Amino acid sequence: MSSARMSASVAPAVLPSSRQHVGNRFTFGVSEQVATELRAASSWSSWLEKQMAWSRISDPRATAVAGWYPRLADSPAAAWNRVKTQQRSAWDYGFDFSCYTMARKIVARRQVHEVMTDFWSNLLYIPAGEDRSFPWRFSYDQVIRKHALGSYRAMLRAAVVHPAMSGWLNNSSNTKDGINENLGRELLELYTVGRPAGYDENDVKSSARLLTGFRVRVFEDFAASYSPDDHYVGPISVLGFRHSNSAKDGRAAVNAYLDYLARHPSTAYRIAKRLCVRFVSDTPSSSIVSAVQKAYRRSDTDIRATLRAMVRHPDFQASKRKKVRTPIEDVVNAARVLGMRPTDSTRGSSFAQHVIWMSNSMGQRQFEWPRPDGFPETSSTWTSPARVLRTWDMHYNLAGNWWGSTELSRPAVKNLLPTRWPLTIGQIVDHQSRMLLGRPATTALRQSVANALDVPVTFQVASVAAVTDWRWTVVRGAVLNAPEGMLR
Amino acid sequence: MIHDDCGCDDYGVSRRSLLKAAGLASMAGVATSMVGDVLTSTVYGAGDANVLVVVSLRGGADGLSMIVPHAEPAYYSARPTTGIERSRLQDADDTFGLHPAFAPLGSLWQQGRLAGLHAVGMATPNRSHFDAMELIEDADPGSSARVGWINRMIAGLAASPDVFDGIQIGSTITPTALAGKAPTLSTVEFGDLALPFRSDAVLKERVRSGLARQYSAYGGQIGAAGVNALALAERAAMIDSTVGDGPQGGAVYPKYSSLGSALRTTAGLIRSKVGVKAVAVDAGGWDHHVDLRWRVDDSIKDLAQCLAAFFLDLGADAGRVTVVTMSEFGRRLQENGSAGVDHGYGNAVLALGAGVKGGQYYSRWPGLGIGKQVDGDLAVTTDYRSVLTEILRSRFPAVDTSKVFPGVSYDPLGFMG
Repeated sequence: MSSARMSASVAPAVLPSSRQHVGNRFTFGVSEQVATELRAASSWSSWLEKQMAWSRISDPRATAVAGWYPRLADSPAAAWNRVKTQQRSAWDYGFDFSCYTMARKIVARRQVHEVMTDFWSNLLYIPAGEDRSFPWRFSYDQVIRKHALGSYRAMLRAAVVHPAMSGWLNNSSNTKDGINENLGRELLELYTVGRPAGYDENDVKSSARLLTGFRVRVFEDFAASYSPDDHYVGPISVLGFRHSNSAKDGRAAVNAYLDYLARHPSTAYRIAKRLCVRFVSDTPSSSIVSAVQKAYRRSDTDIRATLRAMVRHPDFQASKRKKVRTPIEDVVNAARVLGMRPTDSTRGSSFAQHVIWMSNSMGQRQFEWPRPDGFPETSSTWTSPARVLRTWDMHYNLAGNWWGSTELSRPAVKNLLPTRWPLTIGQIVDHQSRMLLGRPATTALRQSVANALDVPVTFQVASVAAVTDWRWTVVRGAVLNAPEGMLR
Repeated sequence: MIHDDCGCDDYGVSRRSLLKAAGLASMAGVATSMVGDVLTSTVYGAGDANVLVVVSLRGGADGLSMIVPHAEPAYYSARPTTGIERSRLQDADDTFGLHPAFAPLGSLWQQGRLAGLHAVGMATPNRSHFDAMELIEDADPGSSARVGWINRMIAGLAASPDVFDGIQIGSTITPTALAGKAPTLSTVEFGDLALPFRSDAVLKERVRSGLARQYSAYGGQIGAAGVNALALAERAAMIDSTVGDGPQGGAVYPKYSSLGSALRTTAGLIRSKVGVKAVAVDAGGWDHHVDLRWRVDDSIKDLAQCLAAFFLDLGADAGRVTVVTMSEFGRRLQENGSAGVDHGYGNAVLALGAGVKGGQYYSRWPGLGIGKQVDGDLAVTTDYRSVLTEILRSRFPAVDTSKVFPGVSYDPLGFMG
């Protein structure tokens, strides 16, 4: 492997920009491994197809992450019992789960699956460590993962009535004798048709009535069940959906309702728009949104077919480096391209825990958005000057491991640099720009690093031994801080 | 110290328009201006305008312990182990008295700068932390715009708000109250809004010039944000140096208090006169389901010591600063089996500082007897949005409050002068 590594060359060949673009948008960072895969594939679409068939890719490192957080395997009753007896808090469970999520993003080989899991988790959003949902949060995540590249209809069915969702949006206390509209409303507003569909308050009430019966014994033992006695029986009408809802057990009617909503043209539009905002641009053209919307409907909500329509539209390839990474995406990307890999999570200094606080210090923490609508997908939200400042600083912290993270695997410097010496500082900057950003260094970047090191661009570095920690950190931090380093 | 480059303090708005026309004031909100050929940052805006500081008591503060309705037998019978005896109350009138842990605020009360408001809350009960915080801070029921009320307030005060108009201090995560179209800033401190290598002036400058060259050449959204980040770092460094001067007037904030460090930073921010209009600060830890008696004593003591130090620290600037406390809900009247109190409804509010007619209590008190409660909780007779409207109308008359709080029925308590 070491002789075949890309980085052995003085000027590693960068990927064709169309491939680099697919990697930038559909992975959490084009690491050397991703670049190698993308180069070996017959086309970027064949790489994408292979990734979308995620269950055929073996991914032992991602699978191992769950083992670092054994309490995530607690049954809801056991988790609640630990909280009740003050051995752990809901926050502790949430923190474990957030670390687990971040670590998987860094180490997974099934990158497209990770990215799509993140996308749907942000649409069907439930925070981590929230009081009424935390014992079921990990189980909910497994549901999202299972359907992340399947059909939206199936995902919606599984997610909306999941006990975590019932707790989070109060469906657990929604009964025929006391309607709680929270889930019934958000189902319409956020998860499916959206406000422009024009539903009214009667539709919301009907939506909530149909969802009665899904019980969770919140703050007792968190046991989940379906209780026909709590289910509202009687005709339901939401937008164009009509159901007699005459059975005591309303679950068949709920499934019919969720199928109706998943297939609704307004849902198709909403999902298409959100996908395009994540993967194409903050302001996608109506042409690409409508192409994606059509594919979604024609395929009966099939996610892979929907994504194919998006990436085949010319707007997709025309949008290179137009999105700014969110703080979470930025930390994960930096870790991946720098070759920093968490190996366990037994203490506060573990890299797997530090990444949470690193993105937090830039203004975003995994699953810490307080509202049901998920983190904004728009880049403009994450492009404030304060965020940019903090990211510049964080890139040096990461490049130099200045937080002193432990349980961290980092390749030896000599395995990341060319085999042929001497090299000029300018060549080293260019080499790292190719490796970390997938493009040659600009003159301004090379000059900027040389200035910071107070040497000319032509300054010769005799051997890898002369690449001190300081020089190495200044080079890599500066490369990540180039404007292109903030973009995906 | 902060100064205006052209010495024209009252020139802010028109200069901003000028900059907009020149295409130099970016969407990110940090002003830039041309001085000769050099693109430099400047501080603009009305540096000594009025400021509102909103202290959110996270977790649901027990208003019945903060401002005790001592004339209500129902209060004492519902709180056999946690009721505060009449004799221990501070500044009591016939109906109410302050918890004794408010002692550090005694002189502000005597000077008429602190008022106690009661039976305040949302129009309808919501006993979920997340939902209630979201609803209170969004403050626009029925709208799906998901814009917070402080964002609407600063948008109503300037045609193109500055990034320093609305600031959250104490967290880098934007709270709902600040979320929206107008640019806002969320930060723990101003020292962390610095360029890399802040402690090495020579190296910092080399890195700065390299970033300046790359980002100004790159253009677009990220290019503009990078250029503005360089300007922000300079403004933040000035604020940080004012904060770094330390508390003024002999003010002492409690040690190890996150509220204290947030208010200390807030005082420095206000003293540095960058033109901030609204600051949101969190005070956590009010969710007292168990052992209310000593826990609420600690919470109130921290709040009182921090606010007393804050007003001392502000010095002459205190004359333009109004503070109001908010909490997502009050708590149940009846204490629970763990000598604590569960989530409730109506709550107490403190208003301090500029414009407050203090030294007294204001309430349309609903009473606590049978039939007066709402599901076992104190009723709400004053919408919290009406309380905020009263402050905004007094201190920020340029704001159209009907746009900040759409649809609220305004029913002033008369606590603002």
